[in-house]
Order: sequence, then C-alpha cells, then structure tokens
Amino acid sequence: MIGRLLRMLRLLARRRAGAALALVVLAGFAAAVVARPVAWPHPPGAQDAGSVLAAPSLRHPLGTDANGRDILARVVDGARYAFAVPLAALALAILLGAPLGLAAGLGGGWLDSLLRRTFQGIGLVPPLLLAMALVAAMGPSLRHVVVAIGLLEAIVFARAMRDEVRALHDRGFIEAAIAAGNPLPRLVLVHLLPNTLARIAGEVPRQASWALGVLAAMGFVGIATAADTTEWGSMIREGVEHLYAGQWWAAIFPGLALLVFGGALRVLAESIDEHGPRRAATSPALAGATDRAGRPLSPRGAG
Amino acid sequence: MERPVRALLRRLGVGLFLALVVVLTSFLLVKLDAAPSDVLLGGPTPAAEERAQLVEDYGLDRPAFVQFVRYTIRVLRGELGRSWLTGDPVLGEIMARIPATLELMLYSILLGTLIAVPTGVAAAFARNTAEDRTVRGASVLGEAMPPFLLALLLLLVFFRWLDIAPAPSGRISIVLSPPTAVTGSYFIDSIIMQDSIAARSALAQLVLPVVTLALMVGATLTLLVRGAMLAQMDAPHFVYARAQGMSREMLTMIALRGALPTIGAGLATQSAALLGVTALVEHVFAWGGVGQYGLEAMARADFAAVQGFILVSAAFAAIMHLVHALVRRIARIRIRRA
Amino acid sequence: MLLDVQDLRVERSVTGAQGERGFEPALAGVSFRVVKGRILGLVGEHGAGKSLAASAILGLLRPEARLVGGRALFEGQDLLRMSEADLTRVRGARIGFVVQSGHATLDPNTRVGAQLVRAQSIHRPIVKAEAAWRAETIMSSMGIPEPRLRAQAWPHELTPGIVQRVVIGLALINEPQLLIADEPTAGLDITTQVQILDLLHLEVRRRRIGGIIITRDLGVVAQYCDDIAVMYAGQVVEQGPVGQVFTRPAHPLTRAMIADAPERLALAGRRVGGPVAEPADGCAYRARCPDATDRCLVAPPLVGAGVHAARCHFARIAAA
Repeated sequence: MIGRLLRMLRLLARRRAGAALALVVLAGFAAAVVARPVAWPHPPGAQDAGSVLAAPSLRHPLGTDANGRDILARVVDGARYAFAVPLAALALAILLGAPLGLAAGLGGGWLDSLLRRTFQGIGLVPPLLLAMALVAAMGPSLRHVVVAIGLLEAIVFARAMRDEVRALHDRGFIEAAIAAGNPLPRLVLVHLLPNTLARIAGEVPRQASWALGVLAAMGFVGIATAADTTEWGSMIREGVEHLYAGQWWAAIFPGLALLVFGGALRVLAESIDEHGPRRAATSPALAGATDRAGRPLSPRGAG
Repeated sequence: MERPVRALLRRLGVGLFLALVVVLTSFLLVKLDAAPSDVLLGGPTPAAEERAQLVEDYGLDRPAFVQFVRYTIRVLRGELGRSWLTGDPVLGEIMARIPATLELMLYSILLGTLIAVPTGVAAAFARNTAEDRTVRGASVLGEAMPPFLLALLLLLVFFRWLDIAPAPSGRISIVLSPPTAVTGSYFIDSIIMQDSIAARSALAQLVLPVVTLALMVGATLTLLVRGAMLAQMDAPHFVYARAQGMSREMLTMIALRGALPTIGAGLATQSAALLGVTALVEHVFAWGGVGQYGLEAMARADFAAVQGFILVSAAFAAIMHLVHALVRRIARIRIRRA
Repeated sequence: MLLDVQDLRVERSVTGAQGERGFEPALAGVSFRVVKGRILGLVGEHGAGKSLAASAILGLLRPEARLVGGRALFEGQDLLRMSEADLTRVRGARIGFVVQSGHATLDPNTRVGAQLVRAQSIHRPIVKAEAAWRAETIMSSMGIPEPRLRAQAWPHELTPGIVQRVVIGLALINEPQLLIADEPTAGLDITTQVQILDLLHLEVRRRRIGGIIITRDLGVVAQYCDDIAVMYAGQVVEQGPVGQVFTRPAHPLTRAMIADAPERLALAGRRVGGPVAEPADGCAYRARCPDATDRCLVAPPLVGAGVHAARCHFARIAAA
C-alpha cells in the first residue's frame, strides 16, 4: 500500500514540476524544524531586550517581535503546528469518516439518506465558522482545535468514502465479491479499502490545507490558544498593531510562511485533481477505474 | 396533479429536517461546555431571580431532550437569548449588523465575478499556454491565501506605505457620523442624504475590504469558470461553431452560455459559505458587521450570541441555495416554454 | 482544381507508461484532390485518419494533435499556413462543414432559426428580416416541412433527420465553394440516411461546388461519389475515379472492403477484420494482408498512372 502511494507521488513529481516543488517546500519546512535547535543560535523563546521590534538584519534575518524574540526561530518553530495539527485532525477525520461512509455506502437506504441529509444540514453553517464555534464552546486548546477540525473533515471523508463504495456497488463489484463467497470483513479489508484508498489519499492535501487555514484563522482571532505560541496565526495577531505602526515584519513573515506552506499543499491538491485518482464518476462504467499507479484509465479533459 | 404535491411535501420535509439539524448543531454547541448553565445564564455573575427565570425558560433542570425541544420552540419564536456582554437581545444585535455585512458581500461577489469571468474565459481560450498557467498559478495561490493576511498586506501597502487608503476603522471615518439609515448601506444612504463628504468616506472605507474579499472570491471562481468553459469547448457544438468561422466573441458567448449553470452553481455554493471569509475580513477592518460580531462572541465565550450567529449564518446559506434553485428553475422554464 | 492536399502530416501526443510525453504520427503524408462539381469519397476504417485530415485542413485540430507538414491549397491559397483570422474567413464562408452526430453539433441554447441567421451574420453584415427570410428559404430547400414553425424550435425538439438537414443548411447558407461532410449519416436510420445523402449529392451538383464525403461505407461512395480515396493508418492507399477503382481495385485493402460489401449492404461502423497493431515500418497493411511477402517490409511507393494509383508493391494499374 505504501509502495503504491510512493509510486503515485513519484509519478506526480515526474509529470508536474509544481507538485515536485511543493514536496520540496514541505520537506524544507520539516528539515528546518529538525535542524533549528542546532543550526540557529536564537531559541524561539529567548528575549533580547536590546533589540525589540528590530527590523530584519544579518543578526535577525526576519527581525524581532515586540518581546525581542527572533522571528525566524519562531516561524520555523511554528511549522511544528502546521504539520501536527492538520495531520492529527486528518487522522481523526479519516478514522471517524471512513467507517461512517463505508456503512452508508454498503447499507444504502435510510441510513444513507439520513447521513446525507444530516451532513447537508451541518454543511449549511460555513465550516470555518462552525469549527471556530466548536473550539469556542470546548475552550481554547490545541487538542480542541484538532477535534473541531477533525469532526468537520470527517464529513468530507465520509462523503468521499460513501461515493466510492456506491460507485463500486453500482458497477456490480460488491455483488460479485459477495457472490464469490467473501465474508463481510474480508470484503471490506481486501476488496473495498484498497479500491477506495486512492480517493481518500487524494483528498488529503486539500483537507490539510483547509485545516491549516482554520488553525491560523483561530489563532488570528484569538480563540485557538490561551497562551502566546509560535503558531503562525497567533504570531500574526500579535504583530498586527505593530504593522500599522510600520514594523510589518512581526506579522508579515509568519503570514508568508503560512502562504507558502498552504500554497504547497494546494498545488499538491491541484496536481492530484488533474492527474490522480478521479472523483467518483457519474458514469458507473468509469467510476474509480484507475490503473495500478492510481491514475484514471479514462482521460479527464486535457488541461 | 398528485406528483407535484408529493414532490413539494417531500421537499418541505427535507427542509424541515435540515433546519432541525442546524438547530441541533447550535444547541449542542452549548452542551459541549462543561457548565452550560453558566454559559447560558448571562455570564459569570447573574442575579438570583434572573437565574431562576433562565433555568425555567430553558428547562435546565430537565433532561437534555426537553431542553432541546424548548430551545427549538424559542428559536422558532425568534428568541435567541441575550448577550451577556451587552445584555441586549442577540437577534436585534445581529439584525442591526446585517446591512453592513450584506453590503460588503454584495460588492465583493460582484467585483469577484467581474474579475473571474474574463480571466477564466481568457485562460480557457489560451489552454496550456504560459498565460493559462499564470492564471492558474495565481488562482491556486489565491485559494491558499489566508484572507486576513491578504487584508493585512493590502493595508500595509495602501494605508501604511502609500497612505492612499483610510485606516481600518469601520465603515466611515471616525470623525464623521453615520448617515440616517435608509438602506443600511452608509455609501448609498449618504448619497440619498446628499452628503458628499460622508459618501466619499464610506466609499473609501469600502475599497480595501471589498478588494480583499473580491480577490478571495475571484481566485476560486476563476478556476471554476475556466473548467466550465473548457468542458463547453470540448463539446461537439463548440467545435462546429468554430467550423462555421465564428469570431472569438461569438464563440465566447456560446461557451459562456453553456457554462452558465455550472458557474451559477459554483457562485451559489461560494456565496453560501462566504460569511466565514467575510467574518475574518470584517475582523481586520473593524467593519462592525455580523461576522465580526460572531468572532468576538466566540473569543469572549458569549454563547447566546455564538448560537444566534451560527443560526443566522446557516439561514443565510439556506437563502443563497434557495435563490440559486429558483433562478435555475426560472431559466429552465424559459427554455422549456419556447 | 478546388482543393489540393499534398503530403499532409499530423502528429498526435501520446503519454507513455512512465508518464513521459511524446508524439506519434497520425497522418503520414496524405494527398488528395477535389475538383469543382465532383464529390470525393474519403473512405477508411475507424481511426484511419479521415476526420483528422478534415480537421487539419480547416485548422480545427484538437489540442493533443499538431500539424507537422504538408500543403492544402484551396483556391490557390495554402490553408495550413493561413493565420487564424484568415482561416476564420474561410470556414463557414467558402468551405461548409457538416459534422457527424448532428444532435450535438447545434448550439443547444439557441433556436434553430436564430442559428441560421447567426451563421449569415458571421461573414457579412446582414439585415435581420432578410436573413430570417433566407433562413426559412434554405430550410425549405433542405426539405424541412413548415420551416417557419421549425425556425422557432430548439435543437433538442427536432428529430435527428431534421437536425442533420439544418446542419447541411448551415453549411450551405453562405454559399461555400467546397462542402465537407464528415460521416453525415452516422446514427441515422437507413431511410433518413438515404434522404440526407440524396440531399447532399443534389446540392453539390446543383451548386456546381466541390464535395468531400467522409464515410466508412463503400456503398455510399459507390452511389454518391465521383472519386474515391481509401485511407489506412494515416495514409491514402488507393485513389482514383470511382468507376475504375471499383472495377479494378489495385490495393488488397480495397479489394477486401469491396468483397465485404458486395452491394450497398455494409453498415456504417462495420470493420474489415479486427484491429491489428500497425508495423513500425514497411507497408502498414502487411500484418493483415493475405498477399504480403518480404517485399512488404519496405514501404511501398504510390504505383499508378494518371488518376488511379495505389500504395502497394503489387499494384497493377491499367491505363484507363
């Protein structure tokens, strides 16, 4: 399974320079997080009373914040949140959403309709706002942020899973597997999961990018975390008042990190949309038909 | 005759169910909190008789199901409770802020569409060229752009550095008083009142927030328009239109007309969820609209206000979807009648 | 000489197993001619490159195909080297095009009459009432009953036969010098097929213009065309006047196709033999040819004299 994913990624990289660049950017952030403690003299929490809100210089390439802390160190440190929070939320979302979608897809009937309508109702509230309201209700903590984002993304994965399973069902795939004498657990593990994996994996970069945006928005508004952290949205919030006074670096550099990180995830998502597993097709004959590398057998519109 | 009635009833049933889900979501928000009664009961230190009244109203001493039923009834009556920060009814506070938000959204959707349609069309005609790639790259970047960062960048450049935009201090200059409310839009009201100074100030305050939101709308919409156009351009009738020797303008009209339902649906979906992005932009520009109100309520755990805000945002989305469904229906009838 | 296509070469982009992009030849030097007042039948199996040739001439190649070389002289001008703006003035005005699958070819969002009016407005300024009158006139001369009523209809309200008549009307309304019909009867029932082909034939004769009918049906060629060009794997393998080619076919493929369609019975879409991977070099047809020998490993020249020629080492062509 992992080999298949790796092959998919390698294929993406070869076909799309953008996707390759995006992977390099993400790897760069990861490398910086690992290397920072040994490679950079200023810890993210160290205050330098001598240089408060200092402009970018050789000593502090991205300047310092209102407490005299090195922004470069803090931006790099903040990447930990950009990796951890979306990943944790995704794990929760897939663990919750995939079984739900599987049940709806296999069960069909009233269960399917009930779930669909419930998701539709919840979907009426703009997801960003609902996620923020959930965190506000549970209280400010990163764990709650993960839960809120995970819950809302679970809907996305449940829908994706449901569509894939339905598509397989419509192709007679499931009937054939049952007719061949597969018991339910085997049907799910051996036949359904491998065939839906590509779609689930294809959804990951887009949802990670969304989660990152929500996390930052919460940090920016001030409902994600109580204490001051190096989370990028919170850093931007703390930098805003100085931005109006002309010391823009405290807000803009974490913002640019956010943009580059989120942009990399978006580019990855676009590449998958274009070359990766297709979303459940309306035509049952083509639905989910992919070759071994997870690419669609039927060509999507060029471009 | 029977089938339309059944279809209508079905749709009504679905609508009711969706509304129930929304109300339940809003209800559960408060149940998530460890001490929901404190949250509902008007803040940390409510008066004793006030507390008793609220316990009675909400049925807080009763099982959760009863509480939910009572909550639903109150919502149906339009009673969204009082904000513990101001002590005023939430519904009134939200209603007073709706015009500000609607004005911002309306202009942004218009401007965003004006940007996205020509750009998306041009990219589709230039498929896979450098021009197309540039447009797509910019759109993907726009989609990844946090709205508040874009707002801050625009403020930094146009307010702080170039000093041609006003400070992010709301809908009108702080030295002016708002015009008499007619439509609720400061700009239009100032014009009605023939107050050119107020009108100019209101317009200046609108520019940056509208541009921010319009770029956010435009980024997603451009990709949508491009995709919808390409789907049309691959259709046989488009190839045939080219074989007839049609000019670029005529071809554009033909493809755009076919792409219109897709673009409309995308615009409706986007508008329905736009309140989220709008809230962040309002927050930066101290716009004083519904979105800013909701975010502040969240930051201060003002729960009646948060619940009201969530209900209103869902209602707004529902209205957007309804409008879209209506427009589609009318368009289809027009075609069928012919 | 109305149209003289010489050595038309087109490549098609392909994606390999490893995701690498490349090009493979789709038209490998196609030549044919159309004379005023005569109809050329361009015949071949599915995928032989007939439609591709027509698209290339009109500059309507899809993004995945690209022109590599050749000339297409139309009234003395090379269409392949024209600017898009100049080509736009040729398409629809001097070359009319009838495409396959009629229903999908009309703009679904415009009434039929309005499409006929618009087609006129593309190439010259029009007076609305006069254009509408011309639209009705051409509809009735296409054999459409109640043209005034039908002009108000949307394309999806019409039967496939009527739609195809409208498409032919669209192709002729600007009085072109050349009419290209790409499988004009695909998907129609037999009676309608005959009516449509009769109409096409009649109009080309009456207007004394040139015509190309692209088809897979040799019967159509026998009945309605003056000249024939048989295509296989992106090449013309035999061409000549219909009478000569049908009485003395020189290429084995032509012989097989004629044997397969003794009368007008060959239905559109029927294949001669199964799909076979074409050999990389030598005669493209050799894998399926009953008469193939070692000589066929070398690409055959065009053998023949004057108007009748075939691309086969063993072709014997008697002077007409």
